[in-house]
Amino acid sequence: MRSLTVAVSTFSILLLLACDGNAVEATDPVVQASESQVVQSPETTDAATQSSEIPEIQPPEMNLQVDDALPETFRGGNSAVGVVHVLEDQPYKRQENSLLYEETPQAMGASESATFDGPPTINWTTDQVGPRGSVQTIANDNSNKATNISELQDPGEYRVSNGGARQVNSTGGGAVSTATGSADQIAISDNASGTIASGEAVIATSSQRVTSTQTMGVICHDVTSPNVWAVFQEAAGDTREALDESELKQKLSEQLLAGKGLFDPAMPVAETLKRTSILAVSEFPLNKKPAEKTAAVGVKGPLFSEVGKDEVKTAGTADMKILDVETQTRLTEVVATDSLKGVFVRRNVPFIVTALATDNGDKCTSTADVNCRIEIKDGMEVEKVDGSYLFRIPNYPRAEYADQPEYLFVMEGADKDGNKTVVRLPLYVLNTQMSVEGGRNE
Amino acid sequence: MIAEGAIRKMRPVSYILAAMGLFFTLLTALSAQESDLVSPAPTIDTGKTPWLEGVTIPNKPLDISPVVSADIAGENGNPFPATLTEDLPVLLTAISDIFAEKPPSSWKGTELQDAEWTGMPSVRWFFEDVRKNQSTLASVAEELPETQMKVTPLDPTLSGAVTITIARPMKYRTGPDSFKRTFVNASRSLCTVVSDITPPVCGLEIVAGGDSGMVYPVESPLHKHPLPKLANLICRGTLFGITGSDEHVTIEGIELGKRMIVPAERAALLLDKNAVITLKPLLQDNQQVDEKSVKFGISNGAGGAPALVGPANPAELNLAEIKLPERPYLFIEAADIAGNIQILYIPLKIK
Repeated sequence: MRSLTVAVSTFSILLLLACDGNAVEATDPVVQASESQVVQSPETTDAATQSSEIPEIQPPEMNLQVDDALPETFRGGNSAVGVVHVLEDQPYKRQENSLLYEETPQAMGASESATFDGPPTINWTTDQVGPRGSVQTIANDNSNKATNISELQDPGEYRVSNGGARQVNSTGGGAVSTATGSADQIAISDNASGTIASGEAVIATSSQRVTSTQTMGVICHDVTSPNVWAVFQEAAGDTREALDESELKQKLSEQLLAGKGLFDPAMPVAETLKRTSILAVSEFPLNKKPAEKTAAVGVKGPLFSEVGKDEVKTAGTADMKILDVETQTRLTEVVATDSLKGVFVRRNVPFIVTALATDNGDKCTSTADVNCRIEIKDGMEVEKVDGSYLFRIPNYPRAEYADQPEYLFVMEGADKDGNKTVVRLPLYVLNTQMSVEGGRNE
Repeated sequence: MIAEGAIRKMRPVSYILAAMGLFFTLLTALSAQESDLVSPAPTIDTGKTPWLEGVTIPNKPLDISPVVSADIAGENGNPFPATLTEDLPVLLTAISDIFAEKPPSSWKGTELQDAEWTGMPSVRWFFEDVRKNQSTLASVAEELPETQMKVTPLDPTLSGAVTITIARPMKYRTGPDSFKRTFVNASRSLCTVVSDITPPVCGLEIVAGGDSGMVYPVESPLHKHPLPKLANLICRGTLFGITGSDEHVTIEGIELGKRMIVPAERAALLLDKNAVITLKPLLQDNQQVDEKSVKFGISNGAGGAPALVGPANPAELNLAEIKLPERPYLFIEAADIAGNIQILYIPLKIK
């Protein structure tokens, strides 16, 4: 019996809620305003003003949604923030709806005789929110459609909005329109002066352009592995003064920022980097869908050839694989391939190596340090000698030096969202007497 | 509440009926509750509202998202201008409660406690051609207050509109330690006429036997302000070549208007004194040529109003039948529907 009583009480509450909802609807300030306001145009004549006692239609609300958006809790989000989470470069369907887009305008509070004069003008606008809260409109699509499929190409915070405007013609009662000029309440004329034809028996017509708009906050998440670059500089065999590691890093940073982290075999290289060897892993092609993202592996210099051939080329591509399904982070792994067997250094020739990364999270406008090192295959890190790496015993060809350790050049870059780029390439130590001209090792 | 005594006196059939009644009552109540939470998908007739194709969401937001009023004012607080002039920038100001210190404290009967703005407003300005249903986002390079925009309508129209949409993020308290974020929106669209200040750019196509020629102006630079508008005069065709060769002459920087004269030393139509020529007007304007105003033929001299020699608007002219003046010119005069007039003179050289 108690449960029945509770159920009935619940029903009563539900009934009250429903009634309350109706009451709220009835006191909708938009509707109230539309019933009380009389529109006055600044440039109408008295007669026109008198005739246009047609209530102004207030902008109706708009509903806006991104289909198949990520959960509100994605990457630490929560529902109170009220933003939509999406992945960069992933097309999403957006849709919006409003009373403005219906067949007739009466639901907006227009008079019974009012009609829409043509289709709505619909704009889809994207604003980017800057790091200090500044807002900049970056795109607008005047599609005149209530749905829109599009993607955001850069991670960050955005505002996506839809705005609609539509002409409503309302017919008033019996007065003569002699209005001149054309403001929002004046019917659009067909002659050049903007003067509206008048007539003794003309029923005053008021034309209002009604608007509706809605905006949503969007967080576009980074699913692109960072671009990572390493530069190797041998400290022997060059009569010019070599750069120290910090200078080398500075030059590498300038090179990265000049090309926004992208490796292009035809790129101009700073004079000070011309005698170095560069290994670069960078997103290519840009802005592919998350599932199709790849990185190009580029090399420049003699250290990527067992015969010391100095060349610039794209040595291959690597897929950006899903690192974590829940957070949709990506991992680009670069390992040895037929076109890039490893890094070839000469014995008894000290060298330094440094690495940096750029990320599309800030449009590759800054660089960050990348951990790079040389490991023995068992995981132990090779120590530097006087700040440089130096190998005294060759280990290549492997068949000849099977007793010598296997080395790995390791480089690991990560962005703030957890996307990673990891390079693990064999590092081979060649006989110092290597003859580059002969194209073979001695 | 139902009294226990009443229940005791009920028969088994009554129990069943009561239970059924209660079941349906609950079902209805639950449905009502559900409909309060999830609005039904809209019924859309894409034959009547094709722009809604693919839309599956209700026409009102489910969450709180206040709408506040907005208006547009002209310069110095004047009313929004009923008429704008093409190519002439106008400074407009958005007026809205969205720029107020605090966001709305209630919406549709719901109090929004501790409401605060959480970001800058997004203000978007559009110029629209209502008849063409085209909208162009306005942008300005110079630094202006967030409420202002310089709008430059580029084409004349009798059905223009300036539209603003504004959004600003806010938050309101939903619990002792919790807030909800949403957007406040405002929008306004005001109709206007954009007056045409550019004369037509009409030309003539001339055919004489196997030779032909065309003369027409091209507004250059486009959208020049202040006046006068300038144009390049293009003369091309074999009738401009001394040896019958195909000539292409561009005369730059001619003022677009009533005194557009092709300099004889730059280009002239070379015609035989007994030539029979056909004339075809090439009509073009950035709004609409008033076709009733179009007049073409041969004029005695150039400049000012044409001094017509021979018939007006001839499709064909036999020069042997006309007493040609000492300084004969072909001309075309045309006005657009706004009353801008263009007169173009092309010198004739009779062989």
